[in-house]
Amino acid sequence: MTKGNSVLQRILAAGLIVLGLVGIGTGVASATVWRESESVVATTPADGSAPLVLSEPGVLDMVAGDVTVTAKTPEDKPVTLVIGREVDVEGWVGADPHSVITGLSDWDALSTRSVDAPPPAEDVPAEGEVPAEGVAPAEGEEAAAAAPVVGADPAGSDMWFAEAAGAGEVSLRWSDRPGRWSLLAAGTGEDPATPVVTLTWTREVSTPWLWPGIAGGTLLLLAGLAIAVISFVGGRKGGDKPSKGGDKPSKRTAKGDPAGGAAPTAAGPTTSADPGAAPVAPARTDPDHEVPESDRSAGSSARLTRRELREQAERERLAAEHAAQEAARAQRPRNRWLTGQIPVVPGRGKNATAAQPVVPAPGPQAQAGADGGSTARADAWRQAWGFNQSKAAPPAARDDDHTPTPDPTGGDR
Amino acid sequence: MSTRTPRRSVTRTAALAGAVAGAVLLAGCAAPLPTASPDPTPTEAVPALTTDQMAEVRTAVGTTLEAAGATNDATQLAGRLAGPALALRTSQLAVAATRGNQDLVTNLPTDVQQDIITTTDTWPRQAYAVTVQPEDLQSQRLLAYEQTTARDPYKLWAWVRLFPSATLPKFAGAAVGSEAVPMDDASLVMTPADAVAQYADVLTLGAGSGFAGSFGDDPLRAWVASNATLQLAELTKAEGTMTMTFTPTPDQARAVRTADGGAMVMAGLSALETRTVEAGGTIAPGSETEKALFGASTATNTLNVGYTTMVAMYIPPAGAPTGVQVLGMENVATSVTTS
Repeated sequence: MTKGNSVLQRILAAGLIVLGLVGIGTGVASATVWRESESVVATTPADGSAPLVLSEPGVLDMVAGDVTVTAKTPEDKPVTLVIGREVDVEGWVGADPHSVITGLSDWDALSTRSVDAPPPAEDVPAEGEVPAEGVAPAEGEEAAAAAPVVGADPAGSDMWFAEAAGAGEVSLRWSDRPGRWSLLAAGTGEDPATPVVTLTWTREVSTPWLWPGIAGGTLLLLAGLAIAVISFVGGRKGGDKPSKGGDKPSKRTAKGDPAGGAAPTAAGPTTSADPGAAPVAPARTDPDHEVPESDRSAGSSARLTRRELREQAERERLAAEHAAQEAARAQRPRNRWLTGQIPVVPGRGKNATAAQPVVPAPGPQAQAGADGGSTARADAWRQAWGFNQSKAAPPAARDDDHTPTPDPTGGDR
Repeated sequence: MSTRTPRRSVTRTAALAGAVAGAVLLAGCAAPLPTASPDPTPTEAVPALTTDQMAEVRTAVGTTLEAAGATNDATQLAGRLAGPALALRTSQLAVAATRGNQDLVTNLPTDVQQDIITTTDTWPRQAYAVTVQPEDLQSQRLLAYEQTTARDPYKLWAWVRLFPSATLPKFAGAAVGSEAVPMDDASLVMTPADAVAQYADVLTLGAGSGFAGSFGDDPLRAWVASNATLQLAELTKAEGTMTMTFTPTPDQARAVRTADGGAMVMAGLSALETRTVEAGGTIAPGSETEKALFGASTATNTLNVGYTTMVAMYIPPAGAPTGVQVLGMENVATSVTTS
């Protein structure tokens, strides 16, 4: 039970620490890399259905009050851009086929809907403008040859509040004001093109998740660290029992393993399966226990050739395959957290007082953890605590001497 | 195996919780896509033009009038003039070209002291303007503009010279807008259509009209009476006769609401003055305008002078003690023929 609780605590602590780091990272990222762009640029799909494109009221100011409207036509065809009251724009468009910008379908795309001309009640529309689709197909080439479609030009009307006309591309700026405002982009001239309308807003981007993320993440991190401390202090106390003491070395080997496992890094996946299976297995079942023991022997007799190491790893992989295949995905990262957690904990163990001198095992373990660091520090620590265990430690230190040897290869990673 | 399962479930739960927490965090970071949230449709009608736009309309019309007047080229007028205003101005420019003199071309200032803008959301739409006093110290003009369809510009549709004695009714401010009044509006002492028809009858028949009591004396009626007296004085010497008939031009009346609930109506009329003398006699045109319009035609014993007439009237709201008041008019000969 105690053991189970402490393991749960450590998992919880690791989870909280990771969540805390993720929270802080997310908060910072939300204000940096994920920060929304200060300009929103949205464009209509080029469907080419009708030369008139208008916008529903509210579209021009849906992101910000100030908008830059651009209309482009292919082949430098003439295009006119106007903004007016909704009733005026709709009145001007009248029954002509057109498309309507209804809003954003994405941050960079405007949604539109097409409005077809009503079936012509009379042959000739009042404005003399021939609806391209309604008449041309019915009468065929003769009609097209007789009356080339000329796009009506809204430019110059007394009703508009903003207006721009040109060839190929025109743009105008608009600041929102009270009322219902519509945009009208019209391809004009003979054989008018459908303008592609782009709305560009500059907006203020807030970073509402920055400080909540950092604060929440910090809380989680602190909570996780606190639980970790409690767990390990509790674990130390329990560590007086021989059973615990017996457990630790196996942990240590498991820990030493990844370092040793790092040696044949060239083998890649096989070795990574190794630490995946090893640390989990020993704690659980006896048959599995044999694996880490052979493992440990591999670790201690590190003078094995790389080929032998690889073979051994392969054997282990085969042995652990059933378990690994199912659990590897989920457990591997977690196990890494656990193993990653271990170097943290001895550091904390140094701070913790009572439990420390009693436990013989953590010494080497700390050293193993600090194996990238200096053995001198570990020695100083041992002397400070009056350890004669340091005599037992050197072999461990020598163990570590094996591990650094492969380290350079591991450094290739 | 007994310990393995719980632990795996713990790790799985932790993994799940982590994934959910991450997803929630990411979802929270992504701002929702904005949607169009337009201002509500105004409950009260708003003016179809702002005062700035109205000023641009007046300037555009003024520019057109000036350009056409400078070259006596009436073909330029159609872009910004319509209705009786276009007909009258075209004739005025033709007369000016013939005479080589712009004296008789009505001066239409573009500076105004008041804009009257209707709140119509459909078409046609009207707007009116009261000008400042022209430089020649003639009376102020009341200008009427109309936009026939959404794709047309506002065009000067009619104008009148306000009678010096007339008091212009009050209108809602240009920023508030005035309601356009239909020709059959029943909230007035008489409908605008009736007012125009009855006034035409009064002009034609004078005091003999059955509607004479509904209209007070005004300078146009006075002019019609004095003109008849003047012409008849000459014509009777040759056993001649003279008649003058005013007819409302179809579909050329527009009305706008005044602040007191009444309406101001502007209408185009046509008048035909027929002068005849005994057979064998001849009648030469009288005024400078008539001479210019007559040109080199051969005089006969009949002379038909056609006028383009525009009037503005104030119709009080129903129940008001006062009758219809004529505010101003323009009445210019635009055709002279012998048959």
